[in-house]
Amino acid sequence: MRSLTRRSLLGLTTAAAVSGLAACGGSSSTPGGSDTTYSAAPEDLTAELRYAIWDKAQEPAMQKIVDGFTTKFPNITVSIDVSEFGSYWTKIQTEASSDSLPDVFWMNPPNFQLYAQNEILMPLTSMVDGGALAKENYTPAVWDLYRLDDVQYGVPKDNDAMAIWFNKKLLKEYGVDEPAEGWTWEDLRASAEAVVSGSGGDVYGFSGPVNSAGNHSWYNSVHQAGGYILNEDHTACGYDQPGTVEGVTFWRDLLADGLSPSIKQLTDTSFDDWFSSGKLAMAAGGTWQTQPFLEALGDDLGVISWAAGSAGNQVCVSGLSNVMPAVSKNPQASMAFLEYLGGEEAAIAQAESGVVIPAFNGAADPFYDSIETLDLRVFEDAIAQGFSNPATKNTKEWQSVELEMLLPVFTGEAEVESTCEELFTTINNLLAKE
Amino acid sequence: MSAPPTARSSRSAPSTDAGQARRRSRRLRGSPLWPALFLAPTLLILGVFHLWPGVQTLWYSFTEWGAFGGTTFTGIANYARMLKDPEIIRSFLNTAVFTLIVMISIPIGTVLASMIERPGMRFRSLYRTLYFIPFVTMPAAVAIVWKIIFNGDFGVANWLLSLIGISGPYWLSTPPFALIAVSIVGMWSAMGFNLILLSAGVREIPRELYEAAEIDGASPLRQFFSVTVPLMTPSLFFVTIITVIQAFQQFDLIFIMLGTNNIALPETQGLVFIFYAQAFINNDKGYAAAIGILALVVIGLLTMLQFRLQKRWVHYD
Amino acid sequence: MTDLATKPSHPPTRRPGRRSYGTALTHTVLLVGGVVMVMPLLYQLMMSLSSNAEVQSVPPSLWPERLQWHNYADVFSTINFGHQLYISILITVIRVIAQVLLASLSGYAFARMRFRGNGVLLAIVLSVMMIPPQIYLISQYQLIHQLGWLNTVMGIVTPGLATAFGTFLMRQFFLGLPDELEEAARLDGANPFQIFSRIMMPLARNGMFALGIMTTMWSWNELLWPLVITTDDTVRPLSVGIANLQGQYESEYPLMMAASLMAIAPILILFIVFQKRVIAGVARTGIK
Repeated sequence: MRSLTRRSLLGLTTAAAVSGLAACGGSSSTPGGSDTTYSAAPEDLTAELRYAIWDKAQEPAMQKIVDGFTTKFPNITVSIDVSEFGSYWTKIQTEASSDSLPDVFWMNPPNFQLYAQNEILMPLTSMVDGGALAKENYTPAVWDLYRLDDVQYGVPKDNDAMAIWFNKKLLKEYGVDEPAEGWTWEDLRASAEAVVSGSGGDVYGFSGPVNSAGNHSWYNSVHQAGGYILNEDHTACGYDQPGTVEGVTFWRDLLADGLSPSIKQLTDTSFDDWFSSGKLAMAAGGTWQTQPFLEALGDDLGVISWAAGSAGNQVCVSGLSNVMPAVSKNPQASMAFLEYLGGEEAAIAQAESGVVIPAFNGAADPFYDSIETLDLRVFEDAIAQGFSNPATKNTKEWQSVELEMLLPVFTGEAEVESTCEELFTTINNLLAKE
Repeated sequence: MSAPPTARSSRSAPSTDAGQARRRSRRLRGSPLWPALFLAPTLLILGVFHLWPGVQTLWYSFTEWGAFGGTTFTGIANYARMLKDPEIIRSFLNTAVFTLIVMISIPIGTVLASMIERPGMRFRSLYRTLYFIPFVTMPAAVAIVWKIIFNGDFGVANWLLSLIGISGPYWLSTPPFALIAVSIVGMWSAMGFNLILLSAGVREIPRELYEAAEIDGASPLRQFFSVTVPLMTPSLFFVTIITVIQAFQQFDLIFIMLGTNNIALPETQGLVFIFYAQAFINNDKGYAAAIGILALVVIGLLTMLQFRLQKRWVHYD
Repeated sequence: MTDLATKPSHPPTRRPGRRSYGTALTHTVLLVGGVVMVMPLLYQLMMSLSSNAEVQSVPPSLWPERLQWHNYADVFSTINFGHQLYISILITVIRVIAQVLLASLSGYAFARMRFRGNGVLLAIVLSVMMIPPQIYLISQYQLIHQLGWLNTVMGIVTPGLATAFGTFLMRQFFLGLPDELEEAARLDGANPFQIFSRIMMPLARNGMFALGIMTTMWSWNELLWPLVITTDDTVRPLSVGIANLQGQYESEYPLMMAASLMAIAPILILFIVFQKRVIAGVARTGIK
């Protein structure tokens, strides 16, 4: 039937026309332009903003910040869009492909350069120039994480730092002294061994997320042994360094000697579950676990700085930032919101929630003092002397290769030295391609 | 706009596709307007929201697609790379094993359906409720339950094995057990859906045939093979087609049960899972599109093959 | 097959000559198998009433010491259950009505009307069924974005108003219906739409019911699409709510179990109430 085919063709062509732009693929993002430079927003500015985040635990604090912001700008409404971490990134990627990103959203280090590189993010140079965003207000490590080619794209939000959580009750049960500041890898291993032998193998001594996140586990020990993951200008990795090999070996031995649950056990049940359910005495974790661990263990929870290796006990310091898209429907209102998010009021609201450490200098005290039974100041020390989370233009790509090759080392199926040699070439090739 | 009556033989033709076609061919053609009207809404939605995006994906598969758009034509580079990619070849095998294990639900389902729907069966409602429940459950939620069942340390699966003196593996991170575990769950989910269709097929079989067989002194087993199975072949065919398509499109189960940092992934993941990882984790969307198209082609070929083979074993009579 | 538009249901009489041990064996097999099938759900129910420690105990605790009903209350305080339930019901109802109607129309056309391109169009429809839905997610999203339907119920439901599966199912169903009634109506001078609406629709009730049930299942459980397209809680269905909960409380097993059970409860109840109709409905659909 000719008319029918013509009809359906007509339908298809209409569709093609509708999605014509999409068909060419690609977002025609042209940052800059007069409407995207910062200017102080008038109080009666009217806009509806969407603010996307991925942590439900932080929603109350974010809502408090939004409330503070909207008292200043009564005609701006901000709706908070919470997704869980995995789907958050699927969604942000999909939205970035068709210029429908949220007005303001969270960004993390591994993803930052990819998004900035592809001109998805709004450069905040005009905010810096206009005095709405000042470098000296923030932890340097987090400020630098969101710069690319000397342009600032992110407003530092919070600080992540690492420490070691421990279960006082379990340590006491097996006659192990609680760790004290200044302890070393040897002390850590001795305590872990005592727990394992004391419990007849029912309780593990020490573990961390070696099966998923290097920056929460072996990156720390690599630096503590004098190695590094990436060199200063990110042109090469450090897997040829003896210190790096030593840092990886530290974890391999923990697993091989049965002081930690095996990789397979950690795959079935994540290390924080092992710790929360009282089957693990000490856990390598960070600031973000303060509340969940407290809920699980209550007064039995303790926290201490990382044990020191041959080169010290520095840990990976990272943090999130707030960013806005290069193609913005509400540039002025979004910048006004970013300015508020980067200010002291917002920082204090975050600190008081006891969930995260704000990246704003001097605003973190409420967090450190939020829990009487815990000395959260260990994080303050960690931030002061930490190293920055290694990130490049396509962090995810080399990190997924890195994890894939190291997992067999941690399961005991591959040798540390030969794998590190192999990693050195593989990652360097990937870095060269960036 | 009615079509004039046509002369038809009063003999009721066998209800097969061929029979239908013969019968229809005797009908005079009506106005083209009617089929167009009947089909337009469906074709519009399918064309605009499914076929067109599919065609776009086909185009993307010949390009280097930037992380957020922006395409450069690269010809068949993605396809050439795919053929050399050991992960892809391996994932074929994984998908094939998964599909075959899931297909076990078809013979089992046939036996169970013939038992449940047997005339005079008591407690039929109870059995139906029990067996169809997997069809109703939310896959994402159920995958988590299974994840706990297969937990190496506190899972029920290993506890049951320990009762008979077997020390069970860490199912979800030890190849080939990870693939077996995921396939078992796939089979369990498919069972609910297939049983519904197969039960309906059993109910379609005229009782007289069983009565005749009984008079001939055929045992229940004999009846099953000489009456139930041959008469159910059309529904078995339909169920097989749908099961294979869905098994080849499997993604959620592996995603939830194994996650994305699992040492057993290479020996477990299917094509669609690799597509997802390439598109959303490695940001290589052009290559991902090529993998997606490959999956589509494979499913298409398998379905065509099944349509070809049906003549040999499906009885429409 | 002979045409049996309306089948008499089997009288529940016991068949003569059936030896009772065979029946007993059948019941045993069915019961054991049934328990295996339903075990994950029972286990889920048990976990939803346990404490987190009990879920992770070795050996598995098969019954909680104290029933933790508060897990169910906790669901209400963590997600906006009532509203998400409303959205789920809304999008499911819209899709069921649209799919049943559109698939009946198109299935009927493919099965009963002769027109050029029938085979080709059917092949195209079937090919749509074979495309893994994940692979065109971004293109589909861009389309909805162009139309300005992001974060709307309209945007969620539109791509699923008609499906290849539904069309295929209804086509198979209409193929199995007898011709005679249509012929008679045609003799009376009814046009195709009148024939369809007055004669074929009532006969196709069962098939439509089956498609309705399957659409309900699929719509209720669909996750990826509504997750990507919705940006605030006002249009989020339960499936997305549950997924967000799982991401957030990954290790709070009891809470997750309670939430997922609450999400499937409405469908489960619906199914148990209508199960006879479901089976009768599916009978003679994708079959002949």
